[in-house]
Amino acid sequence: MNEALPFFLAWLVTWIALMTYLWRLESKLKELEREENRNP
Amino acid sequence: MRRWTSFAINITMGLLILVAFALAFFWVPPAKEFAEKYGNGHIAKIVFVHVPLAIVSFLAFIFAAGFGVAYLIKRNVRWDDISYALVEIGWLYAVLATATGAYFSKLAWGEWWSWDPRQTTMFLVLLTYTAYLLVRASIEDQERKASISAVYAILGAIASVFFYWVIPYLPTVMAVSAHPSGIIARGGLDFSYKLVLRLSFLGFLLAFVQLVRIRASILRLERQRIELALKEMEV
Repeated sequence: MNEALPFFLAWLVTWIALMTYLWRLESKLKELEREENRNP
Repeated sequence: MRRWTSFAINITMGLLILVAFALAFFWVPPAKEFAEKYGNGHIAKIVFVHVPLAIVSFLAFIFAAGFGVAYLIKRNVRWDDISYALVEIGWLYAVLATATGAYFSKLAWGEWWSWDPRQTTMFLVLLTYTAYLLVRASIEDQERKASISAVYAILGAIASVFFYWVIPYLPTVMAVSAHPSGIIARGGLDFSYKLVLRLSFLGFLLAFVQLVRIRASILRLERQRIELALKEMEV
């Protein structure tokens, strides 16, 4: 199992990076949509 | 409708990530050729991360050029938004592909960066698109920004074809490269690798589609907000 650790790390770090960015973008989009609804 | 599409993409992507990871970790055996060459056959599994990232980044740059052409013909700013979103997310994927490649390099060859032809061409891709982002950020006029970006995206895509698919495969370059793409190209990895690679590719592609959709929507809303503010200033 220890030998597969490099793959596990590469997979984990990559997906954390992508999901964090996706989450940030989704939050920003929601904020902009809320503002748009407030001032249509 | 948009929310449902978003939800469906997220669920499918999540399932693909979990299934591909479980299969890669528990089912796919270590690759024999990698074990003989590098001492650890499990490091071949990094292809499940590295290869999809690299291929999706290439597709992003090609599609960005396509939307650039569409903008130059129709002058519709939506095409510019999508082209820019494609380059931005494609750039992120290219950075991650380079990082995972450097990690493989460290494990296989003992150093993070060795200016292997593959590393060098990927470095040139990153330089090309970092310059795109800087050039775009430095132009204020919206129309000029969109036109220059579109032309740059088209030239960048032509360069990308050479950096990704032509230069690394030249016989003289392949002779000096230590990159294991030759092992993959001649079928040196068994069926389990091909299957998981496809599943993983789909997962990375769906994440990419989702990121681009959201980024393009943000760009549209931000532009509308600026236009509204300008109108209010005129009044």
